Amino acid sequence: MGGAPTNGHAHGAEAVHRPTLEELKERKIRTRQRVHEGQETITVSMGPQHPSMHGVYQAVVDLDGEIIVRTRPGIGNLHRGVEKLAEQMTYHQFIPVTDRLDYVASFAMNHGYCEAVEKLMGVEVPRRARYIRTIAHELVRLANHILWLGVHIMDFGAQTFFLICFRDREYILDLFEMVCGARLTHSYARIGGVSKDLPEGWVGRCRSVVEFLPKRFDEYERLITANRIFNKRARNIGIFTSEDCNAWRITGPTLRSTGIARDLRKDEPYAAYDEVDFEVAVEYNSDVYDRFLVRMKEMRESCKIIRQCLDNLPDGPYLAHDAAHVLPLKKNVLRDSAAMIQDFMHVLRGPQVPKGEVYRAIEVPKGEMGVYIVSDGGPIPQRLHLSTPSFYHGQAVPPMFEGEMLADSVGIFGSIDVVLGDCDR
Amino acid sequence: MEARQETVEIPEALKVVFARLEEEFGGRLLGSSFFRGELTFTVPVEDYIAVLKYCRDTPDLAFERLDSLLGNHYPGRKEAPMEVVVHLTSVSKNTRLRLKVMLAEGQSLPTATGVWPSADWDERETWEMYGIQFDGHPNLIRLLTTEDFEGFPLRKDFPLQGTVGGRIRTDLKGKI
Amino acid sequence: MGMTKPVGLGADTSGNAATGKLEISHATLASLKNASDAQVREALDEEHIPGVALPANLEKLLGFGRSFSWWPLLFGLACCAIEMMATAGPRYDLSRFGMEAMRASPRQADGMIVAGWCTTKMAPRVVRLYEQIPDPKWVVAMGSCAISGNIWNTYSVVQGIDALIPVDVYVPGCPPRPEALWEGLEMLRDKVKQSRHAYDGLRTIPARAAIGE
Repeated sequence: MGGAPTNGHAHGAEAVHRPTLEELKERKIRTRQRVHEGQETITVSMGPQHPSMHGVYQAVVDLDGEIIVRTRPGIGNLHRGVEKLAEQMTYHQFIPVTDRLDYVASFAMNHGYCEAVEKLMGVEVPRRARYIRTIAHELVRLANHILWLGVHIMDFGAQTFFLICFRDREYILDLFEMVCGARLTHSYARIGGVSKDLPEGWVGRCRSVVEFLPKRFDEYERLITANRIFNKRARNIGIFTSEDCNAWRITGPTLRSTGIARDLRKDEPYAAYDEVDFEVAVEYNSDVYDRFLVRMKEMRESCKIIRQCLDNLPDGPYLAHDAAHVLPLKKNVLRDSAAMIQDFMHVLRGPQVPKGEVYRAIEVPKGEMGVYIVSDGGPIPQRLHLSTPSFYHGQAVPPMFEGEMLADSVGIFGSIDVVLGDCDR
Repeated sequence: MEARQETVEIPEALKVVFARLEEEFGGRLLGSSFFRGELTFTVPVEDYIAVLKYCRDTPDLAFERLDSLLGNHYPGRKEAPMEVVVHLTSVSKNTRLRLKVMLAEGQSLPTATGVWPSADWDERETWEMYGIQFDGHPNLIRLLTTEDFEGFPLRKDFPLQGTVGGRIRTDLKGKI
Repeated sequence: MGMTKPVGLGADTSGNAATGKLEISHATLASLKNASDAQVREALDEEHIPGVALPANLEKLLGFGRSFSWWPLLFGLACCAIEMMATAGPRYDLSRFGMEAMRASPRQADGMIVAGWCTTKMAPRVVRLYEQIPDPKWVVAMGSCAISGNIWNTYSVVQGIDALIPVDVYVPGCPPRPEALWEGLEMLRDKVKQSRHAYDGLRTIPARAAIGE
């Protein structure tokens, strides 16, 4: 695993000091020492409807002055029983539901689910489909991080930056619109591939976007990385060491900001990630500022991955030929009787699935999303569980908030990137 | 509901896991299976916490993280319809392990929050969705549904639309 | 028509709504002496500023003004909230219509855009937020989930927000594109201009009717 810190931003100019785990623990303890037990506290309920809460997360905080003593989180405000719903649907039908889990990064959710189902069925995905998936996944990672960045910086008081980020996000959504017709809920992945081939002119347009975006990232960094307000506010708050991260199952950029180069794209490669060259973004200070740096690096790496995939995009089918498990190509359904029968079988009955159970985790923009599927051999899953990153990130809020200032809590909550649709399922 | 056995070679890292667990708990483990590159052990209730601690603390295994903890319901299995499934992940060794505990109706399981604090919400969710009690859990209350919710939604006999009719699906009396 | 103000519709329940009695100033009565029936009805159909009846033309003027500064509540539930943010963003630029100033407090808002599915846990909060918005107010149900519950026909999702609160404009889509929301807000502006509300003629909001209040 790689992950040496790259320079190329203002932070790299300073001598890079890598704090040890003990130092980080000490910093965290120093924060926690601000909490004195037995003090009279006042209770403030933040959320579910709160301007600075990302979604309808409720955090009831006990305050001693401005210091947060205790936090009682409340979730479930977006719970709609996705897992119960999955037990009523065939494997194909469930794909659009996964869109609405993490709606900021819909394709990543489609992809994770399809990877799990393919593992269960033993479907081999064609090489072109794997490349297209990689491109789409990285695009969605860009869209997610850009949105996150705008909202996160807005938490620290910069309203304009939100508008800048939304401007750039639209270019990525345009690409998705070209390829699958939807801006937000893509439903683009299918079991065994993707639903449509890349349209004409898409590759060139995508290339121009990924050439153009890094210039925007330079602009972001000019605005944010050395910004005094952001530095003063974001450094040394919300420290969560690698030990804490493992104990609370924190994954994704938050884990990578503690110096652990854990990235499932490298560790358990899927799609075409084993065929492209990229670095795992790692930072070492485990605070809110470093989580920002990790995401900035990741965005640049994403552009790099997309560029490589576009260069090496192979020809061939974009959906596997596998009558038992995969839907036929839509264009063949009304022309070819075999494809029509296959379509009927899949739509009316569902795919033929072996008995068994699988757990497949992939690296979605927010962390590691695991899909656990139990099949009893029927066309619908016996049990489908989604262990989504936001659920665990939302759970880790009380230890993260302890001893912090109330004003910082918003930034800390933003830095772990919780989307409530993903959290409540 | 045993998984289909495969003839695929077990990876070296998982062989170590298999050997160490067999060596430590031996005959007390109720079964193991290997499917699609994943190792599964069925663990008796009384050894559940011991196995979790062993997996976390043994340097050879080093399962630092609890990836997920969930319940399952098999109405067809008369003697042990409930099941708790635990997924462990080792970040340093890059391995995964699945542990299963089968439970009779109404049988409780010791909490894993002492081993991994992240089990907290998972166990609350499992209790809320299946009615599986976790002994010693600090705060076993409903997490995702409303406090007055009745029934355990993910059980197979619970209707998808819930037990409260109408479009609101809940009784708003006293809440607004 | 509209003589009794629905219970629980506004934060302010003083004046007409509480007593059910109409108070009209002598000046207004005098001005209505020779007016036609329609004009009288228009003048009397004035509940939004309690205790004061306004001439119809002033109401039109107010509606005109309101329609150019309709401030929604900063209230996002799910996916549609992202599209709502995109609508407020630079490409679609809702501020052209004076609607970008999303108020975080319901007391300062003119209405709400319910963007996303409403769960049973969230339902009392949505009703409370709605009731905290002062009159006059308008509601946009954005997206299929808010309209009908969409695919979430499950134990914990309210099957359409209009089971709880009166809805003025429905914007279909999953999620609706920013253009669709924009179109919906244009339709809403017509309603605002004419001072028409979904709660006109309702005795109480559906959520309170459901529990028998």
